[in-house]
Amino acid sequence: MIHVLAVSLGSAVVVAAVLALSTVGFTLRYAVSGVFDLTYGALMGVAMVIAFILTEAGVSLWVAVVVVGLAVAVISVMVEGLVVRPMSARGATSWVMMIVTFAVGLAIEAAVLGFWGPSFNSFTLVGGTHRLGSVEITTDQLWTLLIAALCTLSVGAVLRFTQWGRATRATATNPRLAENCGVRVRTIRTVTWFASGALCGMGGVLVALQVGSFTYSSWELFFPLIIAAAVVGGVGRPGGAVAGAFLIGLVTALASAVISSAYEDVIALGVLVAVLLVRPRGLFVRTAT
Amino acid sequence: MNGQTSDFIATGVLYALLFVIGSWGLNLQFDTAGIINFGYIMFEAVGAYTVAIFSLGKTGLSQGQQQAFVAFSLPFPLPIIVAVVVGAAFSAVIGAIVLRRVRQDQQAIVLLGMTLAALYFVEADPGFLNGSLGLSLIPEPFIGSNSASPGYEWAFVGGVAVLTVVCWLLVRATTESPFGRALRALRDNESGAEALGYGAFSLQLRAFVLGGALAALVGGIFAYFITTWAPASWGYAETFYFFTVVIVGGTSNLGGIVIGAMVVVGLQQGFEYLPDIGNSELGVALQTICASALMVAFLALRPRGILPERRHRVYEPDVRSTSSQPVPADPIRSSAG
Repeated sequence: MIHVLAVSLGSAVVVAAVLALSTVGFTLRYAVSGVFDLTYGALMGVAMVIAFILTEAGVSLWVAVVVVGLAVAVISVMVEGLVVRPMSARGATSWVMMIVTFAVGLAIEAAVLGFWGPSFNSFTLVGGTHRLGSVEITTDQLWTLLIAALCTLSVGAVLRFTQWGRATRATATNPRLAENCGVRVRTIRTVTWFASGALCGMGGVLVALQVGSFTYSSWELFFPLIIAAAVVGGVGRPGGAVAGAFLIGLVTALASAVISSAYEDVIALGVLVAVLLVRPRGLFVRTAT
Repeated sequence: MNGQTSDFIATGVLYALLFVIGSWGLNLQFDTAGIINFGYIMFEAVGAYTVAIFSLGKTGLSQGQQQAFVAFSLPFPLPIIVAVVVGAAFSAVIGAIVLRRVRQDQQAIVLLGMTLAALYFVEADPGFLNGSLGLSLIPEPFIGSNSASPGYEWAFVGGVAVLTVVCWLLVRATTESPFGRALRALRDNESGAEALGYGAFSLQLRAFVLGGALAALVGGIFAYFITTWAPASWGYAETFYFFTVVIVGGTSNLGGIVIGAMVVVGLQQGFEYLPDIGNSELGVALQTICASALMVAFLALRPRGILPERRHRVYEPDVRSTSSQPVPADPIRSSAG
C-alpha cells in the first residue's frame, strides 16, 4: 500500500503542479475582475487542440506550449474585452457573469468540436524515466514540473515584488480606490487576463500530456479540479490557489490509490462541495468577515 | 404527412412541452426565489431514474442485463407519481443544505459541483444505476415494451399537453398566491420583506422544492418517451438550455417561457436537418453556438426577455396613484446578486 502510494506520488506531484499553474490563472481573473470565469476550462480545450495541430506540423512540443500560451492569452483578452467588460459595465451581477461565461465557454467548446471533430488525439512523448527511490518520473513529467513550477513562481514574484504586481493587488482589493490612486485598472485587467490566459493555455497542454489521450471535451474532467482548488484556497488568492491545488491534487491521488481511480473526481468534487458548505471563503482564510 | 415527418413533429412538440414545464420549474427557483441552480438537470435525472427503477422491476433489469441498487415493478401512473415525490424530497434535502449555508453566487457553484459529483458517481459505480450505460428498455405507459405506433406517439404528446396545462394552472396559482407575492417581495427587496416578517429560508425552500418536483416530472416523462436514461442524457450543459429558454422567453412570464421553449426547440430540431458537410458534429456545434449567442445577446440587450414580466396589481386605497406600482426588478441589474 505504501509502495502503491510512493509510485503514484511522482505523477501526483506533477498533476498538482499543473493544477497549481492553472488555478493561479483562474483565481487571478476573479481577483481583478470579480468574475467566476467559466470559459477558462473551454480555453484549455482550445489549447490542447492548437498544440496538437502544431506538434503534428513538426513543431517541438515545448515550443508549442509557449505558442499556445500566447494564443490562448490573446483569446482571453478578447473574451475580457468583448464579453466580460461590456457586461460588467452594464451592471451585470456576479451570477449573471457566471451564466454568460458558462454560455461563452460552451460556445467555445462547440467551436472546437465543429472545427476539429470528436476524435481522440495524443501527443508523442519523448520517453525515458528517472527513479528516485521507489518514486518514478518520466522525462516529460520532469519538464512539465519544471515549467509549471517556473511559471507559478514567476507569477508569484511579479505579484509580490514589482510595482505592477502591487497595482494588480490593489485592483483586486479595491478597484475604485486603486483607480483613484492612479492605477490604470482597465489596463491591469487586460494584462491580467492576458497573463492568466497564458497560464491557462500552458496548463491545458501540460494536463493533456498527463492524461495521455484527449478530445475536445477532456477539459471537463480537469476544470472542476481547478474550481475546487481555487475555492479551497479562497477564490481570488493566488497563494491560496497553489496550496489548494496541492491539497486537491494529493487528495485525488490518495483517493485513487486507496479506493479506486474511478472515484477520484467524485472525491475532488466532494471536497469542493464540503468546503463551500463549511468554509465558503476557503480553508486558509482566518477571519470570517 | 408520412410517418417520418409525423414522428419528427411529434418529437419536437413533446420536447417543447417538456422544456416549457421544466423551464417553469427553473424559473420558480431562478427568478422567483433567486436561486441559480446550475444543477437543475440533476433533479430531472432523479425523476428519470426513479421512473426507470420503479417500472423496470427485477425482470426488466435482467432482460437488459442491467443492474440497479433497487427495483420495483409498478403499473403505469405510479412510477411517475413516485418520481415527483422523490424529486420533491431530494430537492428538499439539497435545498435545505444549500440555502441555509451558502451565499447566492456560491449556490450556483455548489449545485454545479453536486451535479458533477453525482454524475461521476453514477458513472463510476455500475451497481448503483448501471454506470455509464444507463438504464434502458423502460416500458412505456399502457403498451409496455411493444413498439409504439405513430398514433400512440401523438396520444402520448396529447397526454403531456394536458399535463402541461395542469402544470400551468399550478404554477400560476403559486405565483399569484400570497406565497408568490412574498417570494417576489423577497426578490425585489430582501431586507424589506424580512422586516415584514417573511423568512427567506422557508419561502425559498418551498419554491426550490416545487421547481425540483417539476424537473423530476419532466425527467420521468422524458425517460418514458425515449425508454432509456443514461449519464450522457444529463451532462451539466443541458441545464444551460433551460436557462436559455427562461432568459430568451422572459423571466417570470409563463407565456414568454412558452415562446422561449419554441425558439430553443426550433433551433435544436432545425439543425438536425443541416446537410452533412464533412464534419458530423457540425450541427451540434452550431446549435450550441447559436443558443449561447442568443442567450448572451438577450442578457446584454433585452435582459427581461421577449415577453417581460407583467406588473402585478397592488391594492392601493387611492386609485389615482396606480402609476406608482412597483416595476419588477431587472434580472441582470437586481441588487439581490
